[in-house]
Amino acid sequence: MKYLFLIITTSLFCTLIGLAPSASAADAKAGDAKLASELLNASDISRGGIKTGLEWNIQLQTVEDGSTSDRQFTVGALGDDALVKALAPAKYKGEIYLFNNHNMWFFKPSLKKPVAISSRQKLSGQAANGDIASTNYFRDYNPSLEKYEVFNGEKCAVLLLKAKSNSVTYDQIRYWISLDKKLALQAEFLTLQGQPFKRANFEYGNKVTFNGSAVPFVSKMTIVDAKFKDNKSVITYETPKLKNLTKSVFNINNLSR
Amino acid sequence: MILFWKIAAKNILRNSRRSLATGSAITAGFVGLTLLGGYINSVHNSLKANTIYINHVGHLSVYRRDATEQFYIRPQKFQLTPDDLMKINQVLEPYRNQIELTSTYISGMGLISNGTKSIPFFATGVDPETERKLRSHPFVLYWARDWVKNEGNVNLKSEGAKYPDSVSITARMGELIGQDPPFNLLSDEKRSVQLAARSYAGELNAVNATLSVEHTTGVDLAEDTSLIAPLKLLQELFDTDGVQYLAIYMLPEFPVHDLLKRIQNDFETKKLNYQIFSFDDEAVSQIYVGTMSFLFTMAGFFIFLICGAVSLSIINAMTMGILERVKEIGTLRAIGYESSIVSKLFVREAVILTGFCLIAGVIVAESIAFVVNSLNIRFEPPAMAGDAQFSLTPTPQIYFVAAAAMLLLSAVTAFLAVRRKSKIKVIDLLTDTGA
Repeated sequence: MKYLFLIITTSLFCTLIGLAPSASAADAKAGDAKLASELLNASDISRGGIKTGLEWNIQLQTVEDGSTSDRQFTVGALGDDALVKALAPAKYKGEIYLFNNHNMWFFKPSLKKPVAISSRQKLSGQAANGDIASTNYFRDYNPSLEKYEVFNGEKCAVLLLKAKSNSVTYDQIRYWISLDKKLALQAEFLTLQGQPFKRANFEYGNKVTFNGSAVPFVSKMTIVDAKFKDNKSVITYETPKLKNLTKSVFNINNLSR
Repeated sequence: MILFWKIAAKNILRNSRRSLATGSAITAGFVGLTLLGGYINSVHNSLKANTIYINHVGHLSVYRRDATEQFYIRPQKFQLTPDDLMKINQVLEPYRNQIELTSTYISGMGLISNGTKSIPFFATGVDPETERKLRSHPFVLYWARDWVKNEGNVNLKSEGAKYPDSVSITARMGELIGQDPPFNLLSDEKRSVQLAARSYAGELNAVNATLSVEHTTGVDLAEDTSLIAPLKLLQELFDTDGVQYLAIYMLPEFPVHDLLKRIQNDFETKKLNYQIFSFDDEAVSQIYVGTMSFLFTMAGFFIFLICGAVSLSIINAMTMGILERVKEIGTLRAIGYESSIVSKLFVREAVILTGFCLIAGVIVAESIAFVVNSLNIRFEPPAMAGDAQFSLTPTPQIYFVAAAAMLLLSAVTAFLAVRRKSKIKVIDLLTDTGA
């Protein structure tokens, strides 16, 4: 009986010793996942991922194979929807890109019906259609914490974002988010095989008042081809402001009227 | 000399059973070769009609240099501008008597949308009038009728009068976009579609279009995406006044490669930065080149088998005949004929027999071809869209080549079989028991 008690006690002790590290590893993993989600959610706010209506202007400059083109848009976003209107050059004025959740439409005044397009298609140069208004990475991607890294002098969490569906702009993104400011500083857009095919850097020179306080808002996104570094698109964000937008603005049926 | 031919002919009739056995082998071989040639001829011409006329490659096509590799990457740089076309047409001017017509084309990728759903397309921009002429070209109607039969009188030209933005898509594309042919019978609302693509300047653009015509490419892989539109509509979509290439459709009596060399030479002499390709150049028609290479390899193998079997049959029949006629050879030698004359006599026999067999073979081959073609046997060729008729169309050229091959084969085998025996001593030949 005495020996039996000793064996059971020893076994229990060993089991507890064995389990302890794995339990703490699981806790750490859960902590990483929580941190990744929190960082991603917070960083989206400064890229336009606000549930209330928001409006800003965009200057899109593209340099590709030595030639440069400039375009201007105005973007209105409300929750999962966004409406992008081309302002200049005059040739493209009146063109509209509508994002309804994960669906995307293109329309211009001469068309009888809007055209369903993919957010993955190129809009201009390195910028995909989705780049000008896809602000909600938290909704579209599953984040996981890869590592911590210092980027431009700021300690960042490097997240790997994996698309929740194939209707989003990119399959995978490696995403550098400042731990201190909770702002995304860099993104590497990856192929399915995990190879970067373009990189984007973000700057936050704008402010927008959200929940009574001024929060930084993206002012520039520079997207560079991973192989041909001279080919790049610079999206400059201007005059972001909260705006009372109604759902009907984003109704596909209202486009062609 | 005539005497030997007469003796040879009589020998054939004298040994009628043996002659029949040998003749059957020759006839079967000849029929096999001509029908195989007839099948290849049929496939070759169908593919040629499909490549040149239906898929707009033309007998010759002119591109900006390196455009065959670079055009889809940098269309702006590698397109042919109106100025380029003027220069090319100046080069073509002296050769107009060899050219039936020329036409310019543009092609590119994009999306076709019915307002709720978009699917990808690969579009070719054509001149509707030229397109009508090409799809009703006698060569197409004779060799590739299966690929244009559904179109009837509805074409981009006729529909374009009512709807200038008329486009033609395949039945499979119609299915993907939720509309069944005939498209010209659908309501205006259902026929209305939009085409979206990146312009040559790299910007997204879209235009309205009207579903009007159904076509087939004949190529299975292309059936999900093929769209044919008026050239002007695609130029508007891609926001350009240029074209991808100029196709030259030649009159049938002129050799394609001869004109190709002349025009290429003119481009080089005038230092013009253009390239010209023939329809059988891999750079512009991979399917044609790939299919024909496969077919010729397969045909070569079958010809080898047929010729091998026929040679063995003839050698066997000849050898047996000679073994039976050793004493006859000995007698001929004994009365003074040299071994070479005896050999020639047997070769003459083989040639006469083959001649008769060739006549019979033509009749048999034509009969089989007629029956097979009349039965309209359908089959699905690999990588081709839909089924096609299994047809055999041996031509005089095929008969001539096969006949020459059979004559040579029988003469050589007869000579080889008799040569050894005719050199044996006369006494041995006369006392030979045939064992």
